[in-house]
Amino acid sequence: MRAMLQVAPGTSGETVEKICASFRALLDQEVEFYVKEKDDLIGGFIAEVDGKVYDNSLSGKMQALKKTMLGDM
Amino acid sequence: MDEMMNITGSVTDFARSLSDRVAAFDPVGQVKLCGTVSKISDNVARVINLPGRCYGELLRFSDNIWGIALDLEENGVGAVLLNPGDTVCVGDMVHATGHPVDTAVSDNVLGRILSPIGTAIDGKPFKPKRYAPIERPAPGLISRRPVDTPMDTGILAIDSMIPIGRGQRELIIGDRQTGKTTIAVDAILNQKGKNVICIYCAIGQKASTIAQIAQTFEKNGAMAYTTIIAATAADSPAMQYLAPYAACTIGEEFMKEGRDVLVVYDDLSKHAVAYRTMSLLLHRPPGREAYPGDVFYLHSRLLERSACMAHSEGGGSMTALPIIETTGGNISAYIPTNVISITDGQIYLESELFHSGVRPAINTGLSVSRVGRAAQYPAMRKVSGLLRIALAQYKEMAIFSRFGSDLDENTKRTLAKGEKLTAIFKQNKTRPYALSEEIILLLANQSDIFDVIPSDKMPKAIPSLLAYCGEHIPKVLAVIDRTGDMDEKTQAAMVEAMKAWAAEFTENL
Repeated sequence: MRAMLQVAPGTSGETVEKICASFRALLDQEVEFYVKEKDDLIGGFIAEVDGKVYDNSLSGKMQALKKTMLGDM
Repeated sequence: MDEMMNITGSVTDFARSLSDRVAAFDPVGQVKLCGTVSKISDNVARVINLPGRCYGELLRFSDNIWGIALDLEENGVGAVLLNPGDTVCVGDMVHATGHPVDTAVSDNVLGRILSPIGTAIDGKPFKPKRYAPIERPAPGLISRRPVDTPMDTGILAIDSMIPIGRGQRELIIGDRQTGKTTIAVDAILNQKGKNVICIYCAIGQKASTIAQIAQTFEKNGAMAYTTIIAATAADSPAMQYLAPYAACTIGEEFMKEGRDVLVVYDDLSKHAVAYRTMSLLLHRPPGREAYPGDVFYLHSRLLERSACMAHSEGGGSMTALPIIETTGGNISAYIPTNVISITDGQIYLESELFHSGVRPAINTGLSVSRVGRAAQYPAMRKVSGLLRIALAQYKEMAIFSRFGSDLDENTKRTLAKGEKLTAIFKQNKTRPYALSEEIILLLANQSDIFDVIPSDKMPKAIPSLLAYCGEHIPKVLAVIDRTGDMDEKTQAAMVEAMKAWAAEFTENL
């Protein structure tokens, strides 16, 4: 299976490998990751695997926080 | 938001409320579904691995390209792209937004030219305050009340013989270049100072035409209360399909606030063609004239959202002026008959009348308003009673008189009166009449003031009469404009002034 992994600039190779290994364990399959650096993530990663997007980036969390603060405005 | 607005205390209370929200925030990662493009052609994408989508859901493709899910199948979703899909490839990820297509709604849409999805196309920055879904059910029976308030178009022929009320749907139908858009634009120009929000929806038109219309609105001060929703001929069929629904949604938001709205759909023939294009590309079975089987529903669900709301629901209204273009004057074609059966009347424009100089080229015999005199001011009712009959008699006489040379006095009188009545109904474009001006002209006709004016002098006589009355009886006219009614004393004063004008005018001939 192929997947896309977007990471924030400055993420170490070791961290990237840990993330990939976690997904392989989660899906219990051999997954080939295409790794890409994306500036606007700020930190964390976004993985697109098996029809799902796993957004664990700082920018995604800040968006969620903004939505929480605004409420139903 | 209500919670925020209810805070009457200090900034400290506000800060505490924000701080509580932040404390309650749980910063976990999010898992969202995404599908894959399995096929892309002609701006239609097939997406797999994206279960649970709704009909009409907005999907996000790569590079900020959007699509609508219109085909829900067991093994995938067929989505029509809203933007050009040149950069969409097989294998691209597709993200579901979880909500249907929506458009920007709020006060700051007034004076702007927007796309159906709420982006500004007039070159100025635009920050929408709110969005609302473009597809919504029409108001129910109990939420409505009968149409009883006039929607003045400022066009004498319409306001006197085919009156439109607020909340009515009146179709404007005719061949190309017969003045359909001009009638709609004049109706919008006439809403100045009447507290009516106007929305002009351009579907599949040339960008230059839309720019010209925007300029006309700007020049006449109409942009302050008008929004233009534009899906030009260069836009995708999906954008052209969405445009009237977006315009309707914007109008509905104002209607819910108790406002009166006038929305023009120009034109629904192109809208039907765009929908046909989309349906054929989605491999839906074609029906009559290759239109899909639900082409009636396409327009009925749009036009049913125009209503006159009950006072308990705010009392607002949305008047619709849909436009349909016919070919060869054939009003019994598929789409025209569909829309005629949906609307509450039609204004039929004829090429023959247009080319013979009768503008607006309204065929009063085939035009009708099903709301009728309930949507007329009392003053107008008093002067417009026998106009249709008079015009019908004149047309019959005019045909008959071509064959004979010896006409009796009665026939000559009817022909002369009919010619002058036809001249009264001629009106320049972007020159809508005020109610008082319309009453002057019709009262003059009713009181035989124009009998002493030769037919060929009518084009000069009409503006002269209006100017004379504006100068000599302004207070009387102001009462008519304010109250919509005239008593016998007012009527007598007006006739007196008109007789004085006629004497002066004929002296100078």
